[in-house]
Amino acid sequence: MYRFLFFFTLLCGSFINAQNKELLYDFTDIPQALLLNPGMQTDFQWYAGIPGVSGISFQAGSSGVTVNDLFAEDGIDFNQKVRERLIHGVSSRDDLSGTYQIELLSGGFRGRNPTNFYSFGIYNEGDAIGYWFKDYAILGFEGNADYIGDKFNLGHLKTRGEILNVFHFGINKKVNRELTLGGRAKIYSSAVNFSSTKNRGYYITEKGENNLLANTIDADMEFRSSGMEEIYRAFDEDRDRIPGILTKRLFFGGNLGVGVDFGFSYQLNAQTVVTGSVLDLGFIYNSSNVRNYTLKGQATVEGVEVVLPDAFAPNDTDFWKELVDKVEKLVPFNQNRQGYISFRPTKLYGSLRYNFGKALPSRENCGCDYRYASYRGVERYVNAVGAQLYAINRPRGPQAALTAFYMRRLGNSLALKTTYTIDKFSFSNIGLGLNVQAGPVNFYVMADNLLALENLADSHYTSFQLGLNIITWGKK
Amino acid sequence: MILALMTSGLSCVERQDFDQYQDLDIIPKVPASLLYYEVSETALNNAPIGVPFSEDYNFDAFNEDFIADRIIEGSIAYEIVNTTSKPVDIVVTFLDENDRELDFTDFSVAAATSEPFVLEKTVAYNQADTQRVVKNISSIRIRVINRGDNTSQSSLKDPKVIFKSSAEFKVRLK
Repeated sequence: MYRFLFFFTLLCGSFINAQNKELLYDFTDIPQALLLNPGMQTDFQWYAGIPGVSGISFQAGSSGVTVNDLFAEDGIDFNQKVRERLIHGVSSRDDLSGTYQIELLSGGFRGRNPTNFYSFGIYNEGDAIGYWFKDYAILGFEGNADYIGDKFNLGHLKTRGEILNVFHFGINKKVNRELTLGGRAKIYSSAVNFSSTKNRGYYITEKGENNLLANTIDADMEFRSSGMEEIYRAFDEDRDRIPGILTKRLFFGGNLGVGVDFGFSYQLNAQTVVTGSVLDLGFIYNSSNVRNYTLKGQATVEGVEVVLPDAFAPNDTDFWKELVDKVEKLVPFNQNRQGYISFRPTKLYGSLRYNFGKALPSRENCGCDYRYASYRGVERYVNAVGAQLYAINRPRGPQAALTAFYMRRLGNSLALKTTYTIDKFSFSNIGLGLNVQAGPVNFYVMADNLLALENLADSHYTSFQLGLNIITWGKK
Repeated sequence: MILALMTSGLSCVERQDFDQYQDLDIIPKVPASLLYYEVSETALNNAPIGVPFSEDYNFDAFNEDFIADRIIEGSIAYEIVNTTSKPVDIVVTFLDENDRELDFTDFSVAAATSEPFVLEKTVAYNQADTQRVVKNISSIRIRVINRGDNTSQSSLKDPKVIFKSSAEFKVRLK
């Protein structure tokens, strides 16, 4: 039970934060936006994140049922709510998903060539998604007695998740006045990874050929994990070891992988910018502390079958054992320690931004060198509107979100961004981000789905982000 | 601090009652076949009239810990199809692991005429019966007695006595 609670907590921890950071994306005043588009237009001379608080974000999303749907004090029988709103009310395409991200180290500096900006850092990330295992839930909650002849889809089990550290280094290059390109190399150090995403098969109870009923299972299922067994064992034996195990695995003692981000910004005209980025094109090779489970095969059972020969005679055959052995042979449940590759959930961002209103003076420190005159940055404006597109690769295919935004700068010290986002979690997601620049101190805070704050328990989606940095533009 | 402000100052959470979880009942109703038993008319003809043939068959489906600890109530359905020319008595007895008799059900099966004789019976087991009988079943004894002759031959194709059975029980998972 404790182990279950521990992993449930671990998973819940992973089900926190937003993959879609529409408020932070292309918020050019904030260094952490470079993590969402390494090709963002930058004007910093250098920045340093305050370790541990330079970038904290978390999100949770449930496209199906909310906490309030089940646990509200509404006088409705709890079993009825579970049956109607969860078991039958949620689709197998609905999911519970999320991520958290905590920057441990973050910094950036402009190179000797002022058109180059380098950024680097380490962040810890957890990401997980679990689709609603509808047919399993029906089978578990109601059983198959009322579903004779109906197939229970074993493919409804679809989940993946991981906890890892990302070590990254990025280059942001202003190619010319219009175009900025960027790339980021990443090394992943994975502490925990699990996935069960390619399950196929069914379970059915139908009228038997010989006996009254026939139960058939046709399964091709796999659950792969790395890092979990070691933690599981420590949980049983000595829980004080868990932080040490996690730390070791997060800092190159676990499974390693590589990945890249790419991005660009292109100034269509003086006031219009188009941007795009693709993040986490990468993989992790899971070879240490791997434990995989498989269930593969097909078997039909019609109970113990005894066909007497033409003469009554005592029979020592254990038909029950024969039946159990036959099923275990036909549908073997195996374990193995074979290494496997897990791909990161690749993300895609795109945006179109139109700047208008009063132009603000540039803070960029590359205006004095004649060699880079043609690279000088574009003017910043007090207002911007636009649209953003976001997509992430998920086990059941891409999940997308569309965002409209308005951004307002109040001098160089304050900037606000508000967004309206449509995705599978919500059609009424209004977010607000605030960026404060007090001298060199930069602080930002952002929250999503503000309308849901009226009753957080009834929210399908929520996310928060904040960060604290020291930034300089190097201008006297 | 800001986070706390946003979550506690700006946001609201309607009162939730998580204790409702204690009321959750997860009780699936699970059906499955139990025992299929087939005896040919030839075998009946080869057996002495009126002398029962009895055999015990190991059956551990109900006394596996996972099931035995959770099974609540249900029923066992039987269907006997006789295409032989002789009536038979069949007695099904459930035995515990020490071969002690827990419960039995008997069937008097008429001979087939031009059509197979079909006998259906369902035995319900309430919670007390289930605790006393079903969860302790370790083997099933089938006893067949030929109440007819041992020379006649049914005109039906491939004459035999077929015993079918299935169980449908509620299992409390929570």
